[in-house]
Order: sequence, then C-alpha cells, then structure tokens
Amino acid sequence: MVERTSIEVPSVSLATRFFRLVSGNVLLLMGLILLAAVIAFTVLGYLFVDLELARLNSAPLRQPPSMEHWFGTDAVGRSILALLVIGTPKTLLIGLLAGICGITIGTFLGFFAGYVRGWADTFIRIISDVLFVIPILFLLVFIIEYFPVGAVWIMGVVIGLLSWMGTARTVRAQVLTLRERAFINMARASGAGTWRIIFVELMPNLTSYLAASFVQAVSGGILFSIGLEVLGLGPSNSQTLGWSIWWANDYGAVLRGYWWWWGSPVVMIVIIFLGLFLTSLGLDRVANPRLRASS
Amino acid sequence: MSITYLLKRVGLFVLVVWLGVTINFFLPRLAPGDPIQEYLGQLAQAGMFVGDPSAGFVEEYRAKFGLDKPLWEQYVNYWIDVSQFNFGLSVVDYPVEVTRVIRAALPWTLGLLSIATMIGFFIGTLLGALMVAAPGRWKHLLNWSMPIVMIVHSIPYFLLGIMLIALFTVTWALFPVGGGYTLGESPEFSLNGLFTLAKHAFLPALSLVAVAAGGWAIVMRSMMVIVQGEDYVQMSRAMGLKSWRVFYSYQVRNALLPQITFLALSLGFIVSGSALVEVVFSYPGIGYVLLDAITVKDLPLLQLILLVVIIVVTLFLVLLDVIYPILDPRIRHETE
Repeated sequence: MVERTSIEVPSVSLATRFFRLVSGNVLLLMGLILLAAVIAFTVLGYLFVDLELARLNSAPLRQPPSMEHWFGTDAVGRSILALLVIGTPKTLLIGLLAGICGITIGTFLGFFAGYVRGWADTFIRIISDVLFVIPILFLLVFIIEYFPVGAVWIMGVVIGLLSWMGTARTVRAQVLTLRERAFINMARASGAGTWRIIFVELMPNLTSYLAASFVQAVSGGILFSIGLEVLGLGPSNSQTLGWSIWWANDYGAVLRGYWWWWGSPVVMIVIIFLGLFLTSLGLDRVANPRLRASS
Repeated sequence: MSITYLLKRVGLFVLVVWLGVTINFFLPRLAPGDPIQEYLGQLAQAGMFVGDPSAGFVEEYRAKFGLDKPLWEQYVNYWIDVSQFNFGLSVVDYPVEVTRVIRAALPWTLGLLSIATMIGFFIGTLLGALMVAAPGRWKHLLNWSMPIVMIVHSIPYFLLGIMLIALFTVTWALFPVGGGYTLGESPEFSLNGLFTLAKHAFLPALSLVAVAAGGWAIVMRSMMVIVQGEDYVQMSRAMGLKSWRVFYSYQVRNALLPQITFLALSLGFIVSGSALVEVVFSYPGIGYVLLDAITVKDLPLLQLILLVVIIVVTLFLVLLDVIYPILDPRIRHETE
C-alpha cells in the first residue's frame, strides 16, 4: 500500500485527471457519452421543440412518425417528441434525488456501523433487514399516498429514503477492512477524533466505491419510479417517461400496434439505463483494479 | 456455531419479522382512504348500483372487518388471529377466505419464478464463466456478445415484457397475449395441458430470464477475472491438471460464492419479485393479487400476502447465514 504523497496532487489539473480516468476505460467513456447524449437531447429539445404540443389535442391523433412529428403522436393528440423532452429531465430528477438521498444516508449509516460497531451496527442492521424483507413497492405506494402533492421531487426523496441499504452494507464492509490498517491506527494514535478519521482518512479511500454505488442508486431509483408509474401509481399529473408508457398501455397502444407511442419512451429509458449501467461498471473498474487485468 | 450465536441470530430474525409485520399493519391503516369506501367506489365505477353510501351498511361492514375499533385494539386482535391461523375474509372477494385467494395464486407465481430464476442463473453463470475460461475462438465469440448482454440487461424486465408482447403476439401471433391458461378453463395434467401452461408462461419467463441472465453473466465474468489471477489457479495449471478440472474445481467453484449469495436473495423474492411482469402479462399470480389488494386496500388479503413475503425472504436470509460457512470455509461464525 503506497501512501499518498503531497507532491503528486496539485500538479495534475482536473481535466487531465478526468482524461486519465476515462482513457482506457471504454465502459466509463461510453456510459458518460450516452448520458451526455440524453442531456443534450433534453437541452436541445427545450430550445427548439414546441412544447405546447404536449398538451391534449394539440396535434392530430395517432400519427406514425413523420417529418412534422418525428416520434409520432398519441391517441389524445400529443406529440411524443414533446412528451419525451418534458418527461426525460423529470425522470432523471427522480433518479438523481433518489440517488443523492440513498447514497448520503447509506454512506453515513455504513460508516457509523462499520466504525463504531457494537450496538450501532446491530441497530442499523435490523433497520436495513426490515426494509429489505418488506416489498419496497408496497411501502412506496402507501408513503406516496400520504403526500398527494403530486410533486416529482417527493417521489425521488421517498425512493431515496428506502434505498440506502445496499450502500450501507458495502460501505460498512469496506470500513471494517480499512479500520484495522496502519494509517488509521496512526491517525488514532496522533489523537484524531472519530469524525476526522471517518471523513479525512477513510472517505477518500472509498470515493470510487461511492461513485459506483451512487450511479447504481440513481438507476435503481429510476427503475422504482418507472415501475410505480407503469402500474398507474404515484403522482399521476407529472409527465414523466413512466407515465407516457402508462398512457400508452392504458390506451392499448401495444396490442393495437402503435409502436411509436410506447416504443419512444421505452427506447429513451433503455438509453438512460444503459448509460448509467456502463458508467457504474466503468467506475467499478476504477475501484477494483483487479478487474482490469484481462480486457 | 455456538448456541449463543444461534440464539442471537434467531432472536434477530424474529425481531425483523415482527417489525416488518407491524409496519405492514399500520402503514395502510394510516394512509388516507377506507377499504369499504374504496371497494364501493370501484363497484360504482364498474357501473354497479351500490346504494347510498351514507346508509348504515358501510358501518356494518366496517364492524364486520373490525375496522371500527381503535388502532391498538385492531393490532392486538390481529396478532391473536394470526396465532390461531385465522387470517380473515377478503374485502373484495367477500366472503372468500384470504387463504383461499392466496392458495389459488401462489402456485402460478412459484412455478413461473422458480423456473425463470434457476434458468436465468444457470445460463448467465455459465455464460459469464465461459467468457473468461472458454478455449480461444469460443472466448472471442462470447465476448463479442457482451454488448448485447449489457443492452438486454439494461432494459427493465417489465418493459422487455411489453416489447415481447408487441413482437410475439401482435406482429407475429405466436404466443397468447396474457393469462396463465386458456381463459375459463382450469389446468389439466396432460401433455396438452402442460403445453398450454408452457405457452402462456414462455413470454413472462423469457423477459425475466433474459434480463437476469445478463446480470449473472456480468458478475460471474468479473469474479472469474479476479479468480483467474489467483495463485492457486496458476498452481493447478502448473501441476498439469486437466483444463476442465481447473475450470470447474478451481475457477468456477471459487467465483461462484457471491453468485450463491445473490441466488439465495433472489429466491427469497420469489413471491413478491414479479409483480410487474404478472401485471404486464395478466398472469394470475401473487404479484397480481398483491397490486389489486394495494389499490383497493383489501386489508386482510394485503396482510396475509405481506406476512408470507416477509417470512419467505427472512427464511432465505437465515438459510444464507447457515449455508455460507459450509460453502466458504474461510468464513467461520464468530464465537463472541
């Protein structure tokens, strides 16, 4: 284990470090490109697409893709392209919020359990086991019913509050192996407090793990929200991608062969998931150098 | 494994089941909406005459289901009922016992899920192992399939289900659109009956298997890469062991450990894990019944399903705890 010296850090610019991280890591590069493409689609859409076409009866009904409506229209007269432009950032926002909440809670509890151990460890393990055995879809339905505000961000936060267990478990396991290392004993011997040890000594060693868990939490959050929406549960006035699919399904678009109607949001969702998945695999390689061996 | 350790674990699991059941009891009761009213609303929506909801019969039904009592009393009564294996009657299918509703739905879910989970695990693990350890040309061929595996794995399984319906029932009418068996018939035990069952289960199973197999393959591949570099694998090769022996007893045997953990966990979710696929394919399993019970707040039914789910998941957690030290002798239970 080579200790970090103070010489190497300031000499490398952020751009160079990013380039080093990405070069040779095809998975990470492709994942980030896909995510950038999704974001670019949204930004360009907000700039150039007439979003009024997402209103009911603003376009002809059930048109397959054409020059005028690139992704076709649905049975209530909305342009699918406009729906995608509006829905994509909302779905991403749910995922981001779920990811941020999940990772923050998970990291905090994981560190606490792994470092303090004893009663804290047992207590956190019981809570995470309980949340693990109850079907989370069920919890979400009823918790979201309490807050019928219909806001997208509440959905994200609630999902995040219920999806920290994986992160906590990973962080705890890492902390358990790290806490016996020499540099931690060194810090303890020189009088550093618990919080200082956690944030200054342990946290930097876990950055790439946390980054990978964060990306996984984002995609898990999106998956839950889309699952709820496809079932017709959750805030129904939010025009997320999941709700586009619910509308399509409700109008029998699949069985009647209106492939563009359900297909467009599905393709967008798959691109988002693929981007997130490749990014997390790429980050995994950064965290676990042994995986780089044969490829 | 010492007695105190065992007692401690059993105690923890009892605690987890109790807490889980308690949350499941209070959450739906605290949420807005009343089961009887919801049910009447649903009937009215379906165009049925439900009479004047302000009339006494709503109150009467609330009393019949014990919903008129204070929460704590309902909670005590619930545990008394459970201890006597009395799970009550369904609100929606009144007066059918909820145990009967579940007994009708459970075989569908268990059949579909256990088969799909095992097939997905087997295909995916084998694929992942061969991606690293297959001889020369095969290895390249398999690794070229990696992008496809990753793309399929990125599709949420219920959306893959929608795609499969569009392809194989609408574009090419090869499979039935949904359901578990020919409508209005009950399954018979003959070759023909089995064929009909398989035809209905094929697409839901395919959507579960395709997505899951990708995940198993990707994790197995990483583990194989890690194991590949270990000294004992190099050593076994140097000793001149046959290559299939190295592959099976040294590489796969060790790379399999995390896979077994996840397999036990996914078998734990066998009851509840397929709700979305069952809804997409109108498959008559537990997931379908559960979502119905959630939307209309059929409390007795909801409670029994969740009790079953919690007990099954917890059992698999215990099982995992017990078998893991046998699979991986490096892990011994601490005897504190």
